[in-house]
Amino acid sequence: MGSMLGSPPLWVSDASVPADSRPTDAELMVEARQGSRNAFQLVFERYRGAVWGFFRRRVADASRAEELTQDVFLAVLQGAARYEARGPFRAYLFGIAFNVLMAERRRSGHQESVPIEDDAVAHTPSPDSALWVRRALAQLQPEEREILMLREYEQLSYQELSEVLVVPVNTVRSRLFRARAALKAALEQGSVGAEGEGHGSR
Amino acid sequence: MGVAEHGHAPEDVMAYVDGELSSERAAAVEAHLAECVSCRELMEGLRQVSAKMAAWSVEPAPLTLRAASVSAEPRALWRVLLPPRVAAWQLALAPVVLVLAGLWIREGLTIRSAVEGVGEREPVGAGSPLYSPPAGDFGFGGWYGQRGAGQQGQGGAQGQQGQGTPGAGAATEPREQRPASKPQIARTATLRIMATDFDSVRPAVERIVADAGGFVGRLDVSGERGDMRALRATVRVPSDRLEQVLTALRQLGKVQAESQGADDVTEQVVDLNARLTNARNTERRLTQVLEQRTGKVGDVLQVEREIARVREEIERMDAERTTLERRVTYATVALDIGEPRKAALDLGPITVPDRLRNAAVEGLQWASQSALGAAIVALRVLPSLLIWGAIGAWPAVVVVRRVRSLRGPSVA
Repeated sequence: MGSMLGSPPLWVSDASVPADSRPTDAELMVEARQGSRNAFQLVFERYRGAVWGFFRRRVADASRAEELTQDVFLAVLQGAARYEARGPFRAYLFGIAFNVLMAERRRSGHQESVPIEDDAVAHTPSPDSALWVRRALAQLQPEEREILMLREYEQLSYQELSEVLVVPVNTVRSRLFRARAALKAALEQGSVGAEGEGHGSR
Repeated sequence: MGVAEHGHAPEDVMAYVDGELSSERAAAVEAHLAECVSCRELMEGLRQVSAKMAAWSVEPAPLTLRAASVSAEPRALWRVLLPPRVAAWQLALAPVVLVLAGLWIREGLTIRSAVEGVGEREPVGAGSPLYSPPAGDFGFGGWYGQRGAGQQGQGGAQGQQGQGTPGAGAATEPREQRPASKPQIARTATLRIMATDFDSVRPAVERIVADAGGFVGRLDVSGERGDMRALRATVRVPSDRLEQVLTALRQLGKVQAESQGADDVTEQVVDLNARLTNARNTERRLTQVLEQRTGKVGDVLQVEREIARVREEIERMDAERTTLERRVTYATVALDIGEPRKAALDLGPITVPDRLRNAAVEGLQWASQSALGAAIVALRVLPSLLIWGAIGAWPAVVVVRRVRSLRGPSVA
């Protein structure tokens, strides 16, 4: 894959590229399916941060995000018996996370937008830029926002995106391109309007 | 920026940045990027977007997020059952709901007991035909009631006469006649029988009564063949043969009720005899007066009127004594002979229309009865059902939602 440009996504080194000593996700899931609590533990540690981040960026309440993360891993644990490695495990995992998120949004009254005014920004190294990003994201169409966030923050491949969102890969490409263009525009508009950081590259 | 101009779509540049191109496609795009400024700008813009988005980082996962806490029961039950955001106020609401429900249920209970009260009264009054007891029982009861009232009325009439007579002025004779005679007992019996063979009942009753030397005072047969027929009769039989008659009657079927009574009329008889004797003495004296004295015409006429009055009284008392004596001589047996429903259906040929009619009537009766029953049940149960349904539906909905949200995704 394209490792010639920039650093490879974090998750690649973290999970998907199996060093010989490390069991793959699918192997761990097979063990977990056979009842190995230890294998599940490993899967959990591997994706704990990623799933947590997924919910932290999409749910306003940090404790709720933690609960939803647990829900996802509970679903993984309960679904381990039925798990079949038909696709990449990451797609499976974030598919669950996405469903949990949708259920949560249904429950809490269809809040589609990214939470903006909460304490999540305070943890970021550059709160101002983070806030702009979040405001810009909030202006996007929901499906564009979802695919962009899944790509940028969860580092899903096009194939994985297509599985999680249940759309063809071509649609992933076009939608993702549109989303990036829209975010770029939103960011430029925001930075011009807000502080004039002078990023108008076009 | 078209495919024609650059040899590839702008999405390909993005895919190249994302490392999503095959190596040969990546090489082609890379070669083009070296020459094409606009495509390089596009690439730069895409990278900037990614870089800016990276500014939004989140804090590391909390330490409390541990695999150990992910188990089949990850949280307290109430946490699973209740939606997270509204859990607090809903929990606070729960006791209120329970108290309200309790009050409501208590109210419902009082209403229901009131309904039951009405239900108890129903059969006593005219009531609905649906709640009336089976026709046979009802008839028997009514008949017994009539009979009892009749006896009381008789007794009352006799009492009045007994008191009225001395006032006529004939009570001058001493009442020395104390009961030296044997006790005078008027015996009564009632029999309720479910006949085994109803058709033979009437002849059998008449034969038994005749054999005993008695007579049938009254006899009604009601109902038609195939229906529940009933025979009601009052028969009089010699007192000394009462037991024999009753024994014979009991053979007619299954005895459902039987009672015997003995009314001691000795005193009435003695009293009546005494009054009768007095009246006769009075009559004799008056006759003597009329024969011996020849006074004024007015006096003679008055004596004759008095004689006539006394004679009439004697006759009445005579009749009364006869009745009383007959009550003693002849015991009264009230017969109520019914026909069991099943036996009736077995009896003789019952036409198909009759059977159909029976079935239809029964069906209608059952339908209305069951409808009423259902309505009563609904009225009794509905309030509590509503409460508990409302209380139960909420957790159920919540649980269903939770289960749905936790169910694994469909990884296509």
